[in-house]
Amino acid sequence: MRSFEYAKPSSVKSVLSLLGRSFEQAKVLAGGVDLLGEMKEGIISPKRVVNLKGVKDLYRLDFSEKDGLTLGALVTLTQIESHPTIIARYRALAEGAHSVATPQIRNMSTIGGNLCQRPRCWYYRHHDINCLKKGGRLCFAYNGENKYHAILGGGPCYIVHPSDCAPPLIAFDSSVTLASPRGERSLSLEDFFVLPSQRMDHETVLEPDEIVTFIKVPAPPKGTGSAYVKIREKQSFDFALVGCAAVVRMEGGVCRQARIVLAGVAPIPWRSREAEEVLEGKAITEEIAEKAGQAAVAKAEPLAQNAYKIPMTVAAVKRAILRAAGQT
Amino acid sequence: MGSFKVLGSRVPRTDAYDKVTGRALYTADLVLPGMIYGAFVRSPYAHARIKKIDVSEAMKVPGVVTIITQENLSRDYALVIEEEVHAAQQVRGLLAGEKVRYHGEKVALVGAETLEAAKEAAALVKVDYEPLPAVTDPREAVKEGAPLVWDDSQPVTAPDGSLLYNVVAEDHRSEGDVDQGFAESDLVYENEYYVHRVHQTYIEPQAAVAAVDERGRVTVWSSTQGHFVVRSNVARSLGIPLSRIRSIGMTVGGGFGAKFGGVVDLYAVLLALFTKRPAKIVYTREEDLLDARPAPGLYIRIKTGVKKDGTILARSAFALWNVGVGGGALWATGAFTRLYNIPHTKWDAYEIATNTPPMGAYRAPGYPQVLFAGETQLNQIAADLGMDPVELRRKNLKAEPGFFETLEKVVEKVGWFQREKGEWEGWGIALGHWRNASSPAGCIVSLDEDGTAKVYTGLMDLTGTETAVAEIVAETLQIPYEDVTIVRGDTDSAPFSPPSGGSTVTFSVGNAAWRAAQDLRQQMIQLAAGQLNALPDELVVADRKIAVKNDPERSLSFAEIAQTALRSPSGPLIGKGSFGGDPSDTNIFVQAVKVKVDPETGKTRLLRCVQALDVGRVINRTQCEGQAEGGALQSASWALMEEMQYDEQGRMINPNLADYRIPTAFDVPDMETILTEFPSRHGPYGAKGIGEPPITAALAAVASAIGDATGYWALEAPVTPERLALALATRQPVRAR
Ligand SMILES: Cc1cc2nc3c(=O)[nH]c(=O)nc-3n(C[C@H](O)[C@H](O)[C@H](O)COP(=O)(O)OP(=O)(O)OC[C@H]3O[C@@H](n4cnc5c(N)ncnc54)[C@H](O)[C@@H]3O)c2cc1C
Repeated sequence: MRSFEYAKPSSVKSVLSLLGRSFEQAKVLAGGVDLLGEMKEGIISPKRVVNLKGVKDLYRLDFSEKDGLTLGALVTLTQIESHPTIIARYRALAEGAHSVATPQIRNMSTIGGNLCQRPRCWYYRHHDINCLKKGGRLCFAYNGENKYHAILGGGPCYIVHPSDCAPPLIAFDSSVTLASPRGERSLSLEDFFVLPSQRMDHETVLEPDEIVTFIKVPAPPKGTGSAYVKIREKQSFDFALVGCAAVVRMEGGVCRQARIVLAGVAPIPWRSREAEEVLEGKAITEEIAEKAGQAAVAKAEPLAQNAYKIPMTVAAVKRAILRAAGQT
Repeated sequence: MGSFKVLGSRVPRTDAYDKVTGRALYTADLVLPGMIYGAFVRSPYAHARIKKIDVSEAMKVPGVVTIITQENLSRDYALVIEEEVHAAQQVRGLLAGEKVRYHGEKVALVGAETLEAAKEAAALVKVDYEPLPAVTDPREAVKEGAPLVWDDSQPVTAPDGSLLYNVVAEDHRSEGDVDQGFAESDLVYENEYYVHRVHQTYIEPQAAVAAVDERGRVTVWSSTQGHFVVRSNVARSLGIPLSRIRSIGMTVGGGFGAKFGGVVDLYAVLLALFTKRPAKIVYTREEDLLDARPAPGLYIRIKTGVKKDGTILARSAFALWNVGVGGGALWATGAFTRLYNIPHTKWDAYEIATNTPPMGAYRAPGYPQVLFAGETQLNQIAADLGMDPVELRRKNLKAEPGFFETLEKVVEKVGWFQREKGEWEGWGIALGHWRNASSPAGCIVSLDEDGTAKVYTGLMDLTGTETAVAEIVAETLQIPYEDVTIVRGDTDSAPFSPPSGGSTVTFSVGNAAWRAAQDLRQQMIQLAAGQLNALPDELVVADRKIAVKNDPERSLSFAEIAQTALRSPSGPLIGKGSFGGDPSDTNIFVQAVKVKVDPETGKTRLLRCVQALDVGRVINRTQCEGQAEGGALQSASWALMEEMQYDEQGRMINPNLADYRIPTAFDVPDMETILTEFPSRHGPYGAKGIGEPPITAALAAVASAIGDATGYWALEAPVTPERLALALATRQPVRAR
């Protein structure tokens, strides 16, 4: 780790004034779980680190039927996974947060940090390798070791997005509020993430001097069920090989609305409208759920070593849908 | 043997409290006045020519004290380390010279006032490389045209007449005549297996501190399995007389074979020699995964000829060990023949150099790899013959003490012949074995004025051997475990001891301690006989006392004996014991597992893990079980998730514990362990070494259970969800891509 300047301001405004026009100039520190890893491993060496933790406003966590759930960027994953309303009304989110790493890591990790965390691609995380994402010329995964890489939305870089919280949040139709010296903006969380074909130096629309302040999740209407299914090599402390968040609204035994968002298969949390369409207007059966899974991977383009993710994704989608609809 | 007072109990480990409360002192905890910190410059390439090393920018970093390269070394010190068992007689420098041969190889060593400065300077050392093609897979390395790891290596001719490149050592053995054996067989099976290199993933990374005094005497503190080995390595590699080195073994957070020295200790000493200041080097996890002493990988082709009734007539193997830039794997190749009556056996084994780090030992070195192939194949054969795998073993197992009995214990515990399995569930069984190393060791036991005993030993405790030795002494002297204090000394203060490896310590140091305690006991009896006016044979030793057998009122407590000795011409009572290495005996390990495979995801869950181990004699029940369970788990983990992965340029791409996977508590079922006791002829109280055998069989048992569950036999370990899902989807045997 290189030496750096450190600041811990107490308002969003002063945080913004300390950030710079490039990520090299300054990085935001929340729980530090990802950021410090990147710095210690020599992946990034920001000149300044601005700690958000002095900003009281960003710890907000409340729920009302009218406004839904509001999560300040500094709410921890432990808070999310153990919050009674979240468990009752937003099960997929509680499950997504619970599936992250270990209790120690979840105690430190913030939801803002979880959404803004950087990819886990082993070429990206290797200080000896200057890959496309780090400004190099080549995506080494494309012709190299790519068993953990994208089967959807890849190119020219084939990372997968590591977050287990983003898929459920998107499935619940969340929006994010961002703040920068130019003011505030709000956008749907789905639009917050961008593919490498559009932007290489980050996985979101965030400008270097912009931060996530709040995440808003509408109150799920009656009849809504949800689930997050995560398939991984170890039973804990492991990123998703494939994850699937499913949120379904049932009415009279028929699915009125469905949101299916995948983790681990694409450079961003991957919303599968194809899978959603299969479900809408249907009673949810194992057969329909499986069909939705098939639809989710219809356009998959596996690399040399990750075709196994295709049947795995079908399984994850099927299982998430069945659990969301209360059938398993 | 009669009943025991201390042996077989579950007394807590001597180091338990200090470890769980965080008091134990590890090497990384040491801070000496004026100490500097070392950091390495490492090769980003798996294979490259070094054209130039420029340290000028790095030297400008404030706090940098020295930067050492191979050039300084050979010019000023001519220091080299000779890697063992190297047919090409290659001598590798302590730091890379003209070439780097694996990703992460040490190129230069920086010493600085702070670790931060050392790392910053290391990043500024400019090394001009000319990258060369690299090879990390032994199957590729033997082919014509493969990059040569050692420039001057010549191809050797394999038994089939083909040329093998990058061979650094070979071994050919046979008994009987396999050709005849195969000809007489009803069925001959031939299968190829492949095991990737794996890392021991001990919890404490490699670490050492060294200091040199005004007279040039070197002290080295390290996380090691054997401080006496560290002393001899430092002496040999750096040309320092043995008597001028003091080696101190600190508390060790695991080693499993990778901590016999050479990885960091020599470099800490170098820094101390160059700067005349104490120096410390502590590896990061990444450094440990890149550049320590991981296990060798193995490609092995096994051919087995059987009669229709399952009688094995012949077995042969062709093996390519992936030893990286090291060596020392060959001797394990025959492990697949040891347990069975096989008239004809043969193996041809080669060590293949690749652009990967030097191999080291890993718990029962080489056995899990060889037995993965040997035992999995027997299960494949059993399935093909329509025979139960246990029946196949019963038919061929040697009738050595404990072999059948230990197998039958597992059969009984599992209810093997009534075993049930649901959909996508399967059972696997495999046998493993080991014969503990037997090594020279010395020990001293003294009696204190309060009647308690002190044991002076040079053992390095990784597995609870201190506790075992304390129990052996307590049993021999007939005192409680709490009355024994272990004084674990360094190479200046302790009698010679073997390193903790090959399951030798309880056997060898245990024997020395037993002899020392016997010696002390004799002296105590002599003294008591005089005091009590009795003949030695009339005395009994029990409950901290020596008493006259028929007149128990006439007795002396141990405290009285010790105090009397201090007032008598004999002086303090000190027992001495030396052990020279009497032969040891094989112990069998039996592993049964039940798995459930998720056919959609390829993920395998362990449902049951039942193991039986012949320990010879239970010294400490908890520790015996702990060894059995830990070993079984490491082996199962090897079967399911562990693999050092190299990309096509030879770079290790998973040098961290996120991508190099080891199991968590959630991945492990309850472990069910059975201990059997078939005493070793020369073990203390019959004890056999038990550290190694538990890792030898689960790799095969898990792979076989997957075969039983799915009909697809794993020919490549680990059987990750990716490999299994693909195999199930494409209906191909699980094997190398
Ligand atoms: C071993 C390990 C295993 C893990 N496993 C999982 C897993 O299975 N699933 C999963 O989802 N995650 C996993 N994680 C990631 C972990 O959940 C995230 O690293 C964590 O949520 C990040 O939160 P943080 O508060 O620590 O963020 P930090 O590390 O402080 O920040 C992460 C990144 O986001 C930026 N950032 C943080 N907050 C903001 C903000 N409000 N606005 C703008 N930018 C911001 C930082 O500059 C930095 O680049 C794992 C991490 C580790 C180390």
